[in-house]
Amino acid sequence: MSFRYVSNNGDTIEFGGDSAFYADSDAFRTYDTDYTLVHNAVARFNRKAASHELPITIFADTETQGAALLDRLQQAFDHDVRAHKAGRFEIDEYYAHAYVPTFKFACGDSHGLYEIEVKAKVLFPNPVWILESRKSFNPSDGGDTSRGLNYPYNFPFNFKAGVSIRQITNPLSWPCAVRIVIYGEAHNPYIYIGDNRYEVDVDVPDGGTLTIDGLDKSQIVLRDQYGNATNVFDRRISGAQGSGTYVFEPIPSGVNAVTWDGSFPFDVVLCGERSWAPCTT
Amino acid sequence: MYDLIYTDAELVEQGVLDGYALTMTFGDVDNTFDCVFGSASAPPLTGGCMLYAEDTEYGGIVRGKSTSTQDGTTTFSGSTWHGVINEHVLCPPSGQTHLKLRGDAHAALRTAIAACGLDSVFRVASGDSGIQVSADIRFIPAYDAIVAMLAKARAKLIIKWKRDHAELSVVAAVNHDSMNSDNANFTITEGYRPPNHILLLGTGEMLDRITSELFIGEDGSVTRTKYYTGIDEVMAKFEDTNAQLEELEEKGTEKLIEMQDVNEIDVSSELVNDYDVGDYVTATNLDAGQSATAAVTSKTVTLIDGEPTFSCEIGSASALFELNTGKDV
Repeated sequence: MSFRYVSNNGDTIEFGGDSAFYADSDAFRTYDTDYTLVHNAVARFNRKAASHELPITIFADTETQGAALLDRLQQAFDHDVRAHKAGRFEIDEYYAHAYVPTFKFACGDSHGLYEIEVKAKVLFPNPVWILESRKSFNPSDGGDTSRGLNYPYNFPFNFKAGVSIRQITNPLSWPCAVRIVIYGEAHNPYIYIGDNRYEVDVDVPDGGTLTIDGLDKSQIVLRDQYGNATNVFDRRISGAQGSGTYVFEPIPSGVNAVTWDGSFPFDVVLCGERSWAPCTT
Repeated sequence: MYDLIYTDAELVEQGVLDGYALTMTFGDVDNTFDCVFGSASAPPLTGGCMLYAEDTEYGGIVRGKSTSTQDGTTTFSGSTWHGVINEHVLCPPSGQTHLKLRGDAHAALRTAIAACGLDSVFRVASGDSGIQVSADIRFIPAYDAIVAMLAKARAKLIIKWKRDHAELSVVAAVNHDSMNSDNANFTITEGYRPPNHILLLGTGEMLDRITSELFIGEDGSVTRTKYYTGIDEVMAKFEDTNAQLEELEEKGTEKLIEMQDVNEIDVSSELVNDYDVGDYVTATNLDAGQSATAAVTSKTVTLIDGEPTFSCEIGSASALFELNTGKDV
């Protein structure tokens, strides 16, 4: 089991193992979903921000080292609050975005600076734990590849040069968000996952990428081969959720066919959301 | 769950907003929105930027901005699509007393939108609606006039944002009758004795003034014969200083009919998601044995990071009344 905090200042604080920092991830294994009742019937569930207290212990060989470790931990948390950019708590493969706005040095419980007790209050603005799983799709990989008129299904690109068919499985019993990274060169690339068409009408240059991120809908990012980013949100094809052309459409539970014209490689990253990070042995 | 998309001032879509609380009201009183962000994460919205959820009527144009040092928030305020239409006043064509809208509702709507100069952003759905309307409009805010015109035909205006324009269409109003005390919390206010005798005052002065009167009969229809008398008689006055007798009685009839709509239903419920301004709602309090029907006059939508809640003002349609005030402005 691993447990860590990844700060936007570039530091990663490991809790447990050989680390000088120790904290128990079970502190986060609780959730409380708000709900609205109308006459004893649940009208809706409302996911609200959550905060949890996280006791942290720092073990040091010297008081000088203890002071340095304490300072490092405080800076990792403080940076993200000051930058107004959430850091990440990670439990095994799961992560959740969070701030640590309260950081209390528990003098009474500390043994000088050799063994320091800190009580941190962790704020999860959106208390969900995410497991990402990436699958790459390349034109040259195996799977069914059909050409031209022989294509046996009634997809709308029957008469194009060809189509590649693969599968992706969402193991959860509910839909999950998806991030799609398309690698250039690609012209007006589109992909079908299940019945939904994900399309952005841009030219992705050789060495460039196009990223559609269902967890960050604030933009759709086109990068050229030099890493220069452009927001191409306005070039997506139109459609609200469930319309069949929604560019951020979540992936349904179970096995989903992935089809495209086979002219470019891409990654599909499933972002499965859980209300807590599952326990592992 | 809705994606609230925003554009820059050149109307180029920028992305989906996050970390906001949007309150949007439209109908007979208010057609505005407020969208609140934490100041540290507020998007770069300026006047003329649009906010909208695709394929819904939830959207509008940013008209103002305020910031608070007390709670660290930035609020963008603006006009909903309904409000944008209502920022234009429908005027009579040159040399005419009224803008006369007759025929299919879609054709009437096209005329009204064109008169406002809004046809680049607001486009009426192709084809006919199959609903006939008739309205004489004189210096009335356009959305109010359209809603009133459609209410007379028991129809409603549908607005849906379609990528780069708002699509307008007209459909028949719906009577939603599934609301009861088992599935919603509401307060019914039922009126037992609305006005049943209206005095009509038209053009002219003193003895030359054109006057008339109309009544509600036993069966609830408008009549020239008094039915309710004594303590059961409730009188009201309607004045249009420009109206000749025929027009005065026509408007007086509309006014008296409208005055019969005295029921109100105060509700905030998931059920009202599907209710549109112009629809009718029948709510039944099964415990109290009370039921009432009233028109939806205003709807408020609150979106917090895409999660909607809805509430409606139901009762006492006043848009029709605005059409009939007939003041010479």
